[in-house]
Amino acid sequence: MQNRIEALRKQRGLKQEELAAALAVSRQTIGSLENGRYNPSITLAFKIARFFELPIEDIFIYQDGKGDSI
Amino acid sequence: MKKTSLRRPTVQALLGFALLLLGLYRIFFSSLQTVHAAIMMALTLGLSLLLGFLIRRFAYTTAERTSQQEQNAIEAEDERNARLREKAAYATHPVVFAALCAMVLVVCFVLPPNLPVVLMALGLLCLQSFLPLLLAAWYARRM
Repeated sequence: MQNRIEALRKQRGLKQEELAAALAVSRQTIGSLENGRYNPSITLAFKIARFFELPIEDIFIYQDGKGDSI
Repeated sequence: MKKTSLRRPTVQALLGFALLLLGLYRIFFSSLQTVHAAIMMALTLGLSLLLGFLIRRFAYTTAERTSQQEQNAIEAEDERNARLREKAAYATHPVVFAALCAMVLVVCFVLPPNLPVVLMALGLLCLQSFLPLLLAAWYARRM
């Protein structure tokens, strides 16, 4: 699954640490999400969507047959 | 990002190293029996860890401690960390199971007969075999 977290974060001038603190996750989680190494749970996906005030499908792009790498 | 002071880890490391040296000295240059020396070594290492922990705990200011505790809570509840722990435990299980099987075979057929040890080893093997099944059933009811 691809996502636009890095682009959205940079658009808002945030550091990974700041986004991590806002979502109550570790900075490593944000790094892994941005690199596409980790797909979030539905709860975290909703939190991210609410944080960026966008629908989930505008942030996460689902592709058939591409699963979780972690 | 919070700036980290080097004083605390340095003191910790020096204390731990001094205690380690003391333990080694007791082992190699004293007239203690090997078992006693090993116990002393283990105690020394344990004590150095405990001291390090205490120094670390009391070296924090209240604000630092609160911030650190919050960060620790985030790290502990972080969903990626939780998934990493699950994956690690899942990968560890067959390795530990194989090691336990080997240990049971050695205890039963290679070492001199010792019923309590054999029973303990078999108990561990049963625990390792059935605990995941029981826990899986328990979690299945809750999920």
